[in-house]
Amino acid sequence: MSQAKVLITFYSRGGSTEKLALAAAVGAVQARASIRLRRLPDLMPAKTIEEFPECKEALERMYKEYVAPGESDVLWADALILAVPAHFSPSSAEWMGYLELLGRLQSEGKLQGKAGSALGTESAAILCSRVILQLGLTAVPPVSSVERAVTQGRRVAAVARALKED
Amino acid sequence: MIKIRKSEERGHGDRGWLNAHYSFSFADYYDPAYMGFSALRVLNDDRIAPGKGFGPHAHRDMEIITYVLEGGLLHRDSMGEQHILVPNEVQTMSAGNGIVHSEFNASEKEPVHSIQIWIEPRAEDLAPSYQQIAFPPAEKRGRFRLLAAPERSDGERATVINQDARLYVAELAPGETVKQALVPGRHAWVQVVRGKVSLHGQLLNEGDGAAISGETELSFVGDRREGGEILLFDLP
Repeated sequence: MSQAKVLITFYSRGGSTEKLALAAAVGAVQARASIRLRRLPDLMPAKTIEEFPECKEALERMYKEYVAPGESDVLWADALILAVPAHFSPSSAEWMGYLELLGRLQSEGKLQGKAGSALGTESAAILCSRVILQLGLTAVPPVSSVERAVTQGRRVAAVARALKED
Repeated sequence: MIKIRKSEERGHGDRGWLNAHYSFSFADYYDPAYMGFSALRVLNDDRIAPGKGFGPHAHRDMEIITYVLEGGLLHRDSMGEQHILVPNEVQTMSAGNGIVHSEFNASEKEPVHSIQIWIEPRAEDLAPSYQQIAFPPAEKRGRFRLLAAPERSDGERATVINQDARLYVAELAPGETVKQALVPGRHAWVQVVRGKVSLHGQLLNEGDGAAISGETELSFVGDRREGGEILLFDLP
């Protein structure tokens, strides 16, 4: 049985969406998947810190710890988890570039056979789930809490594995 | 039987911010002759540049022990643990059924020099855990100070690992001898992390290791000029 590969992409300023992403990653690892965790970059890091001084510490730490998702990460993955903040919109500056990349890969047939799932507060996760369906990914229902994110990670890995064997 | 693993014969990885020497196969270094020794799977000698480190990544079913020789290593994990590990401390992370963590040089100015050890656990799917203990440096001078053991003891506090293995550290003054008994049938690995030490008359330099089998008493002597510090593994 081959190992499922799960890419978890998130955008977080204060660290709470990061926690959801980490929990989903742990769940995927529990299901014996290998994982990559990627954070979407702030378009203007210095300005972001200025705008959200309460997030300064978390932002500076995340700039250091994470790299941005690239095309090779998406191609590597059997499943994509998108962890979105409460203010998520597909046209927000941070997400637009990544979703455009996914859209292009979909049009090239490169997302075929991959699973996808959204993670975030309820309305944001539902909005993101619509994007996942539009991308033609095999959708695993969205979840909103850290506890359920672990289960979601496990499920996404299981679905990805089943799709690989299909 | 004592089989020496010379420092310069180890695997080497240089990523700019990370200068690593691998006693056993790891990452891009692969040598089927060095896949581990007994339950000891990985022994990495890492030098990490200021402010740099390993971003969040996952582990499963491995006992991961870290010992810092210089500097401070910042650990963060998916269980919410966040600690800086400094010399004369030991950190043991049981990855169990899954953990995600990051490790960074805690300083923006000083490099960090650390040894990372992976020991195979006795079982899969155990619950993940994190332990960190500090000890007075005097406790490792001229004697073996226990860092990790399969059970809690009433004496010296050590971290608990899910394997029938023990890890000790000892600092030997110039010309000083320390001895350790080995139960028949058990194996040992010694790693010189600082200075020079001789084992039964054979000189081991910094970075050298040795696989030991079929011996019942190990006798180490600190180099006459600079002494040395060693990690000793008692393995099944």
